[in-house]
Amino acid sequence: MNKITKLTSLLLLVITLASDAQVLMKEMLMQDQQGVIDKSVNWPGKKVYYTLKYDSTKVYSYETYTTNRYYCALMIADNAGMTNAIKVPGMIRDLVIDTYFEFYFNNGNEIKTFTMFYDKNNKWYRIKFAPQWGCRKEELWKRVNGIESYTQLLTSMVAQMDHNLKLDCYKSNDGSAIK
Amino acid sequence: MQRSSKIKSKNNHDPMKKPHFALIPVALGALIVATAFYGCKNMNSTSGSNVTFNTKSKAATEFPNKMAIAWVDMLLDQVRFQRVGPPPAARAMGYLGVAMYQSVMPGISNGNSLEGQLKDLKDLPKADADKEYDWPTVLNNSSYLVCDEGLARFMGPNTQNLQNLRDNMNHMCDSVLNNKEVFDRSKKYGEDLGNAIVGYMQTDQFDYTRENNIYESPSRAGDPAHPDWYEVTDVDKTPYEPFWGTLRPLGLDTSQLCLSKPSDPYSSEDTSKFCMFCMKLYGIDTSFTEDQRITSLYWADCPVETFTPPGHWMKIAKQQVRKHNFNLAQACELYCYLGMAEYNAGLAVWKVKYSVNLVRPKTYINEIMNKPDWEPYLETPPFPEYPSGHSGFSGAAAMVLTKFFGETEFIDSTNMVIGLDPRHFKSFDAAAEEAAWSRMYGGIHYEAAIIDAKVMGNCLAKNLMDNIKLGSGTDETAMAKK
Repeated sequence: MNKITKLTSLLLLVITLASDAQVLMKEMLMQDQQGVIDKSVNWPGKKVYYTLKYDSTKVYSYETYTTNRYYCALMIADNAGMTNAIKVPGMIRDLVIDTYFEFYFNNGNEIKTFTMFYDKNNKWYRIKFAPQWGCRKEELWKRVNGIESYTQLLTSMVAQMDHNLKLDCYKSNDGSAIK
Repeated sequence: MQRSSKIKSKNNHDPMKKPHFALIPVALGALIVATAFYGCKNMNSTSGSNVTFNTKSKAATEFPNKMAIAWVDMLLDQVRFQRVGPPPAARAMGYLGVAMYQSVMPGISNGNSLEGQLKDLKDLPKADADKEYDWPTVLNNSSYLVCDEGLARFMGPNTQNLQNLRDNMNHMCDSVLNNKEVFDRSKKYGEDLGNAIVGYMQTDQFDYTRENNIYESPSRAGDPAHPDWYEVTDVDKTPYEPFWGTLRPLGLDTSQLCLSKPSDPYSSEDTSKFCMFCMKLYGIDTSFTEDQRITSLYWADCPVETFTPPGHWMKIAKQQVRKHNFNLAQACELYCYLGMAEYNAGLAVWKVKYSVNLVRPKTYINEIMNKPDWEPYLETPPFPEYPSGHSGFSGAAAMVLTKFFGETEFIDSTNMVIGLDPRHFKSFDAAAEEAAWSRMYGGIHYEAAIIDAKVMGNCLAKNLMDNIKLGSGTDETAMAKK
């Protein structure tokens, strides 16, 4: 009986710790991330492949605080080899409870900033983006709850991009990062 | 003055009466006695020489600003770490300003005590005029107690960080001073003063607002006559600080808080001015420029991530204190005015918020404009829309800073703390204007809430500085001449 109680307590502890585990850690932001979405809206019958490629870090210091900006590029393609991938420069600010993702979408005429806010405590994210006319399919940027991993976060974000944007709008326009 | 003018006017307006020369010495004597009586009675509340000025001690003007800055920084760090919201943060700043200024006041030749100027502030301990004090030590020990009280609800009393700063600063003062008697006396006076101000804080209604915070949020569904009412959402079930407006202001009475009323009533008619505001807001949102986007992020000043809106302005003030090399007396005078103005701004804004109870743009755009998935760029906070808190805080702060430093260009680097680039401003008012409009770019306020709140902040800060006389020991407090 005693053993069962101990085992149950241990199990509860593990579950508690697991549920509080941080989804997003600094180290992850400095590593390349990859994922795939099964059914593409932009490219019917194909999958969407993405890579978030880490580029560099810039340190911001104020008094005793430092905050990093992580520069990266989001690549989206309809093939695993990432041939002719759409490349969107991005920047991530990882703060105390929020992580801000910005991606600079260039259609050749203008650059528009896509923003994603991720709440690390409550594990939800939301997107704010008004794309260029002609590049939008839908405007339904959903608030998504229950994000338990970095891969889940990025996959969900790219799935919304695929659903709401005409991704080919941004082909061959790499758009310079706003640094 | 009033007594003399009465005598004068009586004589002037009675031409039938001839002067009785024998009474002149008597009248002169009476005048001297009256003047002396009146002058002494008001010595503490008008500008001029400080009757409590302590000539035995080094003047507060001869100390650097280091101790004041250290406590402002400590308070703002704790505000950030302990997730203190803007109104309670401003309250802690207000009382810290009071404690810091009152601590050094006897060391300021033209200083005026806040006792008798702030409602209910009385029986403060006095420095012994015949004994020497070290003003930074006094400030250190009073500020510790007041910060501890101001933050106690958020981090518990006797927090180690505050104690460490107090102890380190005491150690430094003790070493520099090298006079145990003066150090001990100053420490004791600081503690007595701090405890008295803590006692004063405890009578401002704050505790009442914690313990009686059962708030019935109005419901649009429950009363169809009020489609304009703000209502808590499923996400934000608890409206934030519904009773904050009941607190006692510092240095102003309620009539001087410049409480605003919405100039354009709520309307769901698409030709109404109110609806025009919303369409403008929605339009800005969908055609967002990069500058508007960055502006809304820069002034978001979210609790936890940043120092909150009033804290952001305290940091801007700090940059100016350093730039102009303010001495301790000047820094304390500035932080006292600024802290009290920010506290009053929070109080005034929250008072109006929960009397108007206006619905937020997100609800209006989702429901009335039939854009159910629309989200603002910034997260909608859990309290009514009108008037805008940040605009009120910014209007008040800009008024105080302009009085001290004039119309001056400056670069603000505060939000490098969240990885944002410094921004350049032509004046404090221009910065306040930008901060105010950032709330519209962020999609959480209509135009009227922004304009009216900034005017309200300007107005109550001006009233505060007209009402309350402090003193910095210098002829020209304002650095505008620079």
